[in-house]
Amino acid sequence: MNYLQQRFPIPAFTAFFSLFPQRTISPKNEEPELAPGDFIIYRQAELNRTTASLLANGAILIVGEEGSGKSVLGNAVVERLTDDGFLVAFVEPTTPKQMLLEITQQFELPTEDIEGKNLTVDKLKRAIAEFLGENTAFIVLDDAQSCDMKFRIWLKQLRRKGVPMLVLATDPPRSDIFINIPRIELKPLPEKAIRQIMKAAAQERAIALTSADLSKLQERAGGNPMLAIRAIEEEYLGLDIEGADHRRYFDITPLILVVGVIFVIMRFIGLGTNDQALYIFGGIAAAIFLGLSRLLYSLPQEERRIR
Amino acid sequence: MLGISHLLISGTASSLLLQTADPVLIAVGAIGGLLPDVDVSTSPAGRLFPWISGYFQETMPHRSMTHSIVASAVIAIASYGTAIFIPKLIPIASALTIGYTFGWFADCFTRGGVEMFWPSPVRCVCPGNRNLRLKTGSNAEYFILCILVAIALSSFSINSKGGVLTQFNRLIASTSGVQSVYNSSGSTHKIIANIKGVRAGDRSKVDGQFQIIQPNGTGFIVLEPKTNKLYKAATDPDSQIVIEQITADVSTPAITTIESVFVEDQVIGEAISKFNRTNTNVFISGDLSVEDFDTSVLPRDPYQFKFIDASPSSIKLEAAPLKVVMKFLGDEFASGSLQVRSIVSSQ
Repeated sequence: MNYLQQRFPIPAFTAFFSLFPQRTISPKNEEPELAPGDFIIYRQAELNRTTASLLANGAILIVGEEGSGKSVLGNAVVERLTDDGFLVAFVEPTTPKQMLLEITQQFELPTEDIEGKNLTVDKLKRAIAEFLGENTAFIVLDDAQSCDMKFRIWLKQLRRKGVPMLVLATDPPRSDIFINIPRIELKPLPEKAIRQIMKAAAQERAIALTSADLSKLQERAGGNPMLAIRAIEEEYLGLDIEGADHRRYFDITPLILVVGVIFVIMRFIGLGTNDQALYIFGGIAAAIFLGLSRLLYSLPQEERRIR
Repeated sequence: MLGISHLLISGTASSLLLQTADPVLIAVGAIGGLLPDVDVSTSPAGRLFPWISGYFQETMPHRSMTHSIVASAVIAIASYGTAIFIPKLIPIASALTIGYTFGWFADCFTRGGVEMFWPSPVRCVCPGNRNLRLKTGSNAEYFILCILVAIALSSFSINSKGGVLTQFNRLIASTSGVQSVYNSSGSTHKIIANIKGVRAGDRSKVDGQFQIIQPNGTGFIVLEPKTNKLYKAATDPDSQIVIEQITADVSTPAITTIESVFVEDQVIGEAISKFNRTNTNVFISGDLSVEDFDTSVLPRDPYQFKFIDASPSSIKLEAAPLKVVMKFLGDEFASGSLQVRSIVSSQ
C-alpha cells in the first residue's frame, strides 16, 4: 500500500508530497546478497568457543530466547564435530526411554541384551555411561528445558564423570544441570545480520521488498532471526501486523510519573515564590499526570497466551 | 501513527511549550514532527531527503536512530548552533527541536515503539500491553486525533491571549496574577483591572473596570475612569474596595515614568506645575513639611483613597492626583521631596 495513502488520508498532503517522487537509492555499503539456500553462521564466536569447550572435555549450556538460533548453533557444532570424526549424539526432548534409545542408536550401541530383550531405561543409561567412559563422544541436547527432570539429573551424573555435553535451552530454571555447567547467553543478532537473513528469506519466497519495506519489517525482528523470517512470511501472506513478539520492549509508563513529579516541584516553586497561579497550575497538572500514571499502571497486563 | 497525528502533536507541543500562537513557529514544530520518519524513503520527510533516508533504511530498522534522544540532541545542536549566529532564529530552533522530539515520542504509544535510548536497541512503548497501544489508522487513533484537534485549538486560543499562566491567572482571579500582568506590562501599557468585590464602608457591591495606578499593600491603588476617583483595592483593612475577584487586561500603550522633585521652602504649585501635561495622568507621593497648614480646606471623601494625609506641620501624599494637589496645596510653602508618577498615554 502506498505509504502516503496509508498515513495521509488528506488528498492535499498526498498532492504536495507527490511533487517529490520516491527515488531509488544505491548506497555504497550494500551487503552481498545471499542466494536462496545459502547459509551463514552469524555466531562464529559462540560456535568456536562451544566446540573448543567440548573438545576440552567440557560441558556448556547455551541459553537464549525462542528463535535466537540455538538449534542452528547446535547443528553447526554437531556438523563440525562429525566432520572432525567424532561421535556425536544429537537428541531432542521426547520420552526418557526414546531419548536414551536415540543416543544409543547414534553411538551405535546395542539396544537389546544377549537374550534379545529390549534394554530397560536403567540398562540403557548404564550402557551409555560405560561407552562414554571408554570413548570420546559428545551429547548435544536441544530444548533441554522440556526434558524430564530425571533425565536431566542423569545428565548431571554423566557430567560428574566428565562426559562432554552441549545443552541448549530456552529460559531454563536455575537448577540441576542448568546451574551446574558454564553457560553462554545468546545475545540478539546485530541488525546487519538480521537484514541479511530477511533478504535471504524474501528471496526464498520470491517476493520483492524494497529497503523501506525491509526497514519497517525489521522493527518486528528485535535481533531475533526466527522473528525476522516470520516477519517476511507475514508480509508474504499479506498479513497486516504492527506489533512483535521480541523481548526488546520496554514500558516507559514511569516517565509519565516523572512528568507528574516535575509538576509537583513546580507547585512547590509556586508556593515558595508566592505565585498563586503557578502553585495551583502545578498542583492540577501534577494531579492529572500522577492520576494518568496510576491509570496506566492499573491497565490490564498483556496475557502470556496468544489469543 | 498517521502523519496528520504527528503534525498535530508536534504543532500543539510547540505552541504549548513555547507559549506562542505564532503560525510560523507552530508550522515549524508541526513539520519537525514529520522529520523522524526520514529513516524510510516512503515517508514525506524521506522523499524530501532521499539520500538521508536511503542510508538509514539500508542500515537500520525503522524508528531506531532517528527516533531517539540522540537524534533530538543532534537536531538541537544543529539548529541552536545555526541560531547562535542569527539570534532571530532561536524560537525557530526551539520549535524544530520540540516538534522533532514530540514527533518520535508520539510513536511510543504505537504497537512498534521506538528506540528512544539508541544505540541501546530496547524499544520503548507505553502502555506495556500491546493490545492497548495504537494501531495506525485505527478507530482509537481517530478518536485521539479528535481530542488532539480540541487540545490544539484550545492551546492556540490560550496562547494568542497571553499564554497558559496568564489565562490561568484570569481563571483564578487572584491578586498575584494581576501583579504579574502589572509587572510585565505596567511600565509600557495601561493596566485595566476588572474588580469584583464590596466597598469597605457600606459593603455595597463593586463590579467594574479600574485603571491600576500603583501597587499598595496586598493590592493596588486604582482609578475609576468615569469618576476620576481613587480607591485602594485590596484585602487590607484600610482598603476602600475589598477584592473578591480581580483580573487584569493590558490596555492601550502608556509609558509610566517616575521623577523626583525637591521642594525647598517653595510654593508647591510652582514646583510641580511643569508636570501638568496633556494626555498625562500625574500622581504625586512624598512627605512635605509646612507651617501652620489649615487642614480644613482638604476634601474628605470617606469612599475614596486618602491620598493626602495632612497635619498643621506636615503633609503626606500618596498617589495624589496632580490637579487635586494644585487645587488644594498649590499656594502652600513647603519643604521636602516628592515622587511624581506620570502615566503618558497615546490618547
